[in-house]
Amino acid sequence: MVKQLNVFSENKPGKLEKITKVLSDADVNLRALKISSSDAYGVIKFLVDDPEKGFEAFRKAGVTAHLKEVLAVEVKDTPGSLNRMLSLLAINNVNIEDCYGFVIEDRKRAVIILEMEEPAAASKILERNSYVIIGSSKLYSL
Amino acid sequence: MINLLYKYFFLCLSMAFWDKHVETLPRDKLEELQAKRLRDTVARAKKSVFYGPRLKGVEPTVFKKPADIGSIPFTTKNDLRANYDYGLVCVPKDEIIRLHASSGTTGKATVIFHNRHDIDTWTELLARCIVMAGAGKGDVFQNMISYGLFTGGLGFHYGAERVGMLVIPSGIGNTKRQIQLMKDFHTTVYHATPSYALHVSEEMARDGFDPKEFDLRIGFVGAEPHSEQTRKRIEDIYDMDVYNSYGMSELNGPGVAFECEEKCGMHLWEDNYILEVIDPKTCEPLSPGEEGELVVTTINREAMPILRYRTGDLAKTLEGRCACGRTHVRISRIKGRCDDMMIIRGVNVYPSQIEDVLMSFPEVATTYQIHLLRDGSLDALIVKVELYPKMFDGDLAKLKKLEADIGKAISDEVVVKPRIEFLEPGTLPRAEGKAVRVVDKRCEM
Repeated sequence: MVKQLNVFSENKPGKLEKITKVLSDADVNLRALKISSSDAYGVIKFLVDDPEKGFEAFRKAGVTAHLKEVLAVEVKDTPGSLNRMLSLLAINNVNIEDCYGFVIEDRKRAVIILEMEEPAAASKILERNSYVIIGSSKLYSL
Repeated sequence: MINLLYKYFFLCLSMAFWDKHVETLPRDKLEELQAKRLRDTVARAKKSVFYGPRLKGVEPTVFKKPADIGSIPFTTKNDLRANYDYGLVCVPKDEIIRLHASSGTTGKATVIFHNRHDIDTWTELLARCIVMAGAGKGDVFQNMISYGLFTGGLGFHYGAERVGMLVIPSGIGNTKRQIQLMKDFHTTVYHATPSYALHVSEEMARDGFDPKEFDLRIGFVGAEPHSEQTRKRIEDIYDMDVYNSYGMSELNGPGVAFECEEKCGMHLWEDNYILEVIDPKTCEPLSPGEEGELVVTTINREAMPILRYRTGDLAKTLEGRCACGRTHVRISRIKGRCDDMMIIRGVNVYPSQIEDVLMSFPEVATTYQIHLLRDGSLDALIVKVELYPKMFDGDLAKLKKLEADIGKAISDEVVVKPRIEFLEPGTLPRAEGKAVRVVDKRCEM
């Protein structure tokens, strides 16, 4: 399981800039980022090399943030890989709240980040089916 | 052309009185009548659970003139709430034929009871107002305002029937049908909140009608604070005369004070009410013409008289005699409220009601702000709330649900549906001392 930084933000010009400045000043490096927006506001999700440090920096800067456990699953960087993983979860009736991914080795390996209600249960299902769940130390050192 | 003739015909009929004798009663006679009715009212009020102990030892005979009223303690909205439900009633229950209530779905509602005499005198007051503004028998009256617990609908309805107008009890809403009714039945007079009056005109324009083409000649506009500019706008749009109305459910509802054709202040019916204007802070009486809080006593109500009621409304009396010949005192347009009650779409809303709701949600920080805007021509209620960082769990779906839940809880409490805006902590301005909780931009728009 890895920790993702979820940040509340109003949907206004300059907000993302202000928030990333906090991470930049704290010398926190970004792995990936995703924005879930409703019209007036949204939640910005950061995967960083040091989530605790990032969280603390946000707290000090008065930014509303939350550390959320998410699942990082390694898949092959080939057509259909994501779909196969998702059908496994679908069969097991696992609901996914949010999902994004990034490539870690071109044409070979990618990481899918899954946000869900009970990541631990989903993690077991995936591991039983030979998926590699990436732990925090490995993910952050990528 | 027919329209013009029609308007001219009514112009000739104007300067009419419903009850000329009382409306033009010389001041000394009027004050004599007030003093007599005050004595009767005090005697009657003593029978209620609330006033009984309060007026212990107060002999009605001490009230020789209206100004002697100062020895009676004030009555506040909180007194009414605290004595919910029948605490101020001083007639047997089976004599009561109607109740009205101000907004508030919880125990905070203010309930007013009327017996047959009260409904009748209230109806008479409305009849005076209607005729005073130049309307009457032969007019078609569309009552585009809420019926039900709100006093605006039924109050005007009864008055309009009494003067013999054809009444269309259309209520508020369903604007297309309102326009259809107006067109098909040649409505000449209507009653609406200022925002709804403007809204209807916009809808007319959208449907390809010119509001001036209708047979409208008089509009009664009230229940929401509005400026002289708004009146002029409504008059221009419809090419009709618009008259300002003042009232509140505690004092019956509409019909407390109303403009005559001079459009120079509202005549307050002094044979039914005693008016005082006080400094809301010191509670000292002010001189005529000084602006302060209106304090009103009902002197012709049997079921539930209210003595020296702190209306919370700020206005002043206008000096000099009115050209219309009426002797009853005139008050200015209501400038605002001493407390911070808001009137949104004709509904009374206290910021404290919204605050109560917000504070029941742990996700919400203590700082919030209520913004009132004109959305088109209707009032829009926007509640800006800062999130409490510790309660944020990073889930957008939960925020959306929270937004909907808060919106529903507020609309359950105050009847008006708000738009909720979540803000980052620290976004709203912090004030030294009393925070600015209400930003009313309706008059600027």
